Amino acid sequence: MSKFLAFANIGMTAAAKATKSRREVDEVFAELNRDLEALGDVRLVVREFHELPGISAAIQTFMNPKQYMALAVESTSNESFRPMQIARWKQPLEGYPCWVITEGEEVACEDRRSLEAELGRLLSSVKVGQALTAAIAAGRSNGEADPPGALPA
Amino acid sequence: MQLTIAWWNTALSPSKRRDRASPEEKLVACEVVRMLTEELGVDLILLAEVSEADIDAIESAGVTVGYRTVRAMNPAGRGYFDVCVLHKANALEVSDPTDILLEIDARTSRIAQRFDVVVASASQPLHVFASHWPSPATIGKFDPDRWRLGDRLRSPVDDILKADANANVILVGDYNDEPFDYSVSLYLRASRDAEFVVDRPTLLYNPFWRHLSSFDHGAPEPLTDRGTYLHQGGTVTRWRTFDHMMFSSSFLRSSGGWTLDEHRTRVLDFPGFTELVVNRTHVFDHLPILGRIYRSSTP
Repeated sequence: MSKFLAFANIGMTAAAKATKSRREVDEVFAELNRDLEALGDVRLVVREFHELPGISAAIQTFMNPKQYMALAVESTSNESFRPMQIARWKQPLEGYPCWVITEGEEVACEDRRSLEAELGRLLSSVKVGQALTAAIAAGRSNGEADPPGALPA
Repeated sequence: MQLTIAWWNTALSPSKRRDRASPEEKLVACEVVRMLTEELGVDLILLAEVSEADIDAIESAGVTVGYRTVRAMNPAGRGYFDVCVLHKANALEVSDPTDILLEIDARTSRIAQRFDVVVASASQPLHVFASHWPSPATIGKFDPDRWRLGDRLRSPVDDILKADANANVILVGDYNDEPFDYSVSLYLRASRDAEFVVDRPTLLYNPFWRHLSSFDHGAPEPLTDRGTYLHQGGTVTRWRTFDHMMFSSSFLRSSGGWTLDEHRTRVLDFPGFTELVVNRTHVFDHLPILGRIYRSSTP
């Protein structure tokens, strides 16, 4: 009679844990972006990007364009500023591990503390510093052209 | 065309005792490397527990002529990766490493380093993941974090296999776990069963299941090896198979242009050096392992 009840309970417990984990990750980004507000109109987001195929692969991917998630710096006030990708991002339905993938490094963050540490490290890099500087400048000169090096959304 | 890969945990510079090796021990290490390069003609050699000074000594001994060095001793957390790659300069191109890390409670563990290897005349690259996992003293045998090392290493492997089911993926290293331990067999999904791996191409095949026994078959050339690491204080066994190589299903199906030569995938047990390991008169406690693949066809 209760053949499937135990399974359903396991699933619901896992779902609740996943919701909690994902909310925790959202909180990390919310806190980070509250801190970034002090710098200017800039924020760090997770968003979808499309792979830029080479010419030979263009026809192949036309029918099936590859998409991936990435961390990007964007301006909160200048819509013409194209978000600058700073790392690839992988996150399972369970919430953790959050993978932060940069040139030469892939890091699996298993909990909030690890994610905070990794994002802190990422923010300290030259590449992200340049992206933040560009996004802040774009916010100040709202409506001007994209900075050099900005990637298409 | 065939390609031979070697892995050897040299024990010259463990993470907590860097540059501990004596000049005499470095000479022995150079002799082992000479055996790999000059006598066996190994194409791709991965050395673990090495420091910059150890590699300087090996290079200046003149035993790596015709080989290029990829020093991958990158810092990671409070420690560092301890792997260096030597490869035949005219046959292979080897990428700089991608470091794969696990962060738990802001503490870093080193999962693997990925090297993409391009073989001259082959269209498909080899994706090589080299690992030197923590000892059970650092992350216990039944600590879930140990199993997580295997599970998280599957993630980049799965990414490659999802993009191309015939991709050539090789995992090699000192896992401080044996082929039957959960981290490797269940979480990394490295099977003993070659036929099953052909049917289930997301599994990996671990030929080092064969090298767990000291039984002498009496064949002119032994078919099995007793292990790769001598655990001097072992209470039930001294030999353990901590060093292994695992292969994606493409090497069994010949679908990525390469086929595994299982006869030549084994522990390198050679007179002189093995005695040093057994007697533990020096730092050496691991034997080198070899893996061989050969070109099957152009994919």
